[in-house]
Amino acid sequence: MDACHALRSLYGEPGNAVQGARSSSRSTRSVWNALGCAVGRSSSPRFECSGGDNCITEANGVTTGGQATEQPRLTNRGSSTRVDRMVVQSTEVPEDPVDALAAVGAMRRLADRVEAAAVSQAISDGWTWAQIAEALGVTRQAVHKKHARRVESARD
Amino acid sequence: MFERFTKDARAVVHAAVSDAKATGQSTVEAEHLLLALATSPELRSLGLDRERLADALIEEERRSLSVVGLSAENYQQRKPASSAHEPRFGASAKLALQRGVKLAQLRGGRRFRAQDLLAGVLAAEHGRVPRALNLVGIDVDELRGRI
Repeated sequence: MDACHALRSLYGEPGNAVQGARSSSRSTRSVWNALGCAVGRSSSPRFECSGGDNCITEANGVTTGGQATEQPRLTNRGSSTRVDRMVVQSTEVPEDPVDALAAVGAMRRLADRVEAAAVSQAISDGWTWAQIAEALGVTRQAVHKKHARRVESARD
Repeated sequence: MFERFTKDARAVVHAAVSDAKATGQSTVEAEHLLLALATSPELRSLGLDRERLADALIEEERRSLSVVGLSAENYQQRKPASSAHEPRFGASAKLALQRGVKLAQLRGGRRFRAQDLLAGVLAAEHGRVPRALNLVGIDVDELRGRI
């Protein structure tokens, strides 16, 4: 594995705020330099809310051994309320959402697998990326970016 | 941070990344870390080898999908396509690492061991790891206590 990649995945670009852990940007940078990782562009701000005063901060706390790390997240109060009401009125989610939430994760993984298999099949059947994209309802660039390398490496 | 990882802990992270890549997944998740930790003495003492954990994860997914009336028999990852992309760390794996690091700090350890990583993975209250462990009859609370 590329250690730079792992670090970037874990801690973001050097110099950015680190979620959950305190780490000065200088020491993060030194690790990066030690690993010979190129310091790229800084990523966009993580938390955004366009609702002005409607934005509330949620403490999505992770408790480990009595200490809590806070992961502040801005949520538009209006949309939050609307979603809550919708769930109660229009679906048959059981009282305990645990199985329904697990089902959502499983469906996402299933969708990824079905998509990967279907795209590979389509390409070997001679479809163009544009046709696949249209069938999936996404842009050609998106489908190409997601699948081209996998499909091409499987062909070799 | 990474330089504080012991050789074992690094090996686990690397194995989890290769595993995610080999099964064509775009993210490394906590379950990949758990599978990579299958050789740890804590899990072995419970008779939890890699195969049993992998079966438990498949069963977890089967049950989760059945809640919404889906069956994924034709799309189980028996013969997965390997991904050409380097997988990124997903939310559950990041959380496991953060929790493991936190627990290692609380312990006062200067090094981050594979055992700390296991503690971080097992700290999850929700998600595939505790669900899969419950399915094979593991008392996660008790297991946490052993570490």
